[in-house]
Amino acid sequence: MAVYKFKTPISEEDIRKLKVNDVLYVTGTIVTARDQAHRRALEYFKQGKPLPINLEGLAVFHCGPVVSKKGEKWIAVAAGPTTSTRMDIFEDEFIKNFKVRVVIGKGGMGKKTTDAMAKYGAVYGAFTGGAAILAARATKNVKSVE
Amino acid sequence: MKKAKIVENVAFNILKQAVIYLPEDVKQALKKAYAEETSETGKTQLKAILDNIELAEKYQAPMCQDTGTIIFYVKAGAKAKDLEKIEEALTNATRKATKEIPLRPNSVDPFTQKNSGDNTGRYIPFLQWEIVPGDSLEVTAMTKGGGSENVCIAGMLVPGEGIKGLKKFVVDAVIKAGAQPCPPNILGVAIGGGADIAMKLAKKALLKPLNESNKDSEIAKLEKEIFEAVNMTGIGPMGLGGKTTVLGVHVDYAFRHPASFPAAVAFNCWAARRASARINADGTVEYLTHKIKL
Repeated sequence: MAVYKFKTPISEEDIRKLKVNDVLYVTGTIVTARDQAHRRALEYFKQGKPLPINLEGLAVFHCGPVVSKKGEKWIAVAAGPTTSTRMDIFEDEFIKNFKVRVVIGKGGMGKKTTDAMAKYGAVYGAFTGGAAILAARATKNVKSVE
Repeated sequence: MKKAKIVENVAFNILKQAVIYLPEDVKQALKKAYAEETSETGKTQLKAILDNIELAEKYQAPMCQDTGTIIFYVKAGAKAKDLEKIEEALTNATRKATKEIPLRPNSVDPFTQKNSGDNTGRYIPFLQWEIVPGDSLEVTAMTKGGGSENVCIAGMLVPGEGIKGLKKFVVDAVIKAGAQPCPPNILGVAIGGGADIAMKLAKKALLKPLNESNKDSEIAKLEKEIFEAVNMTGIGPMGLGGKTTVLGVHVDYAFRHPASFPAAVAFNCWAARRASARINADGTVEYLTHKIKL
């Protein structure tokens, strides 16, 4: 169980150093997206519309957080992972088109996704399901909500 | 204070207790699992869970971002007053809890996909009524996570295979569920009645404390057998391997039709959130599951 600490954007070369069961700490910009956000992003791609953020080298987090708003500022109150299998129908295209390097969630994903990960250079990170306060307290700033 | 207002306040309080504080029996079971887990990866997951439980209490925040579908089990004394006002009071408490705790809005119209934004909607929060003797009102809140709900299963088994068929059905369900329901899980298993009745009993069995063994020794034995069998799957905490796949198994049953063997398996995630309170006829309140001041 080797331990890696990567800051986004992460290069394909770095991500290919990882082996199954290694521990990975990711710092930097992480984008939360569940099924609807995956679908929307892929629709944008198909229409040639730019996404609000360039996802290359970033981490996508399967998460629908509990949030509150202080003035104009969003606060992550609880932000653990959701079941990743729901995103299996989108993730291979998502990895191929947007070049995310880390997919974070819980429960693991299917062959179509892992094949895309092997081909384009990405890993799946299992975050402890339900450990929502650990994730929320590690969130320094909610940059934007789309 | 008016009865409806008391019910609303109590329902808000038990929702808050449920989502922030894990019941003591579940906490103890997780600590025991951590001490006994031999898989290195499994242990890291249990450590994260235990740390997270402490942080939720410290920061008064819901332990999991999926604050679930809200279900209220109400045991109403046959002589209790204002029962017609309870449903509205529970709905109001749900709205208030969503805004103030806060909870994630988890109630979506299946046709328009529109989220109501306040955890209410057609039949939601769901109410399960039971009429009991007396004049008090016992309300239990269960906030049921979607990840574990997605793997709940009911099946019509072959009567000739009996309990042996049931054991296979449960073990298969756990293997198929794998990492998805956030193991270590709690299982509610029920047989008999009918497809709906079995699932209803299985889900209700999730409310039983883990340290409360079944009064029927035959059923207690079956619970133990299922517990041991599913923990031999090696699925482990979060499906990353280990010997803790479930924390407990509760079995319930109804008599069955001679031609039918309905069976149901209800899964709860480790974040088995439940809280109960009793409202007496004089308006006094006893909190039954959580001895914590709010």
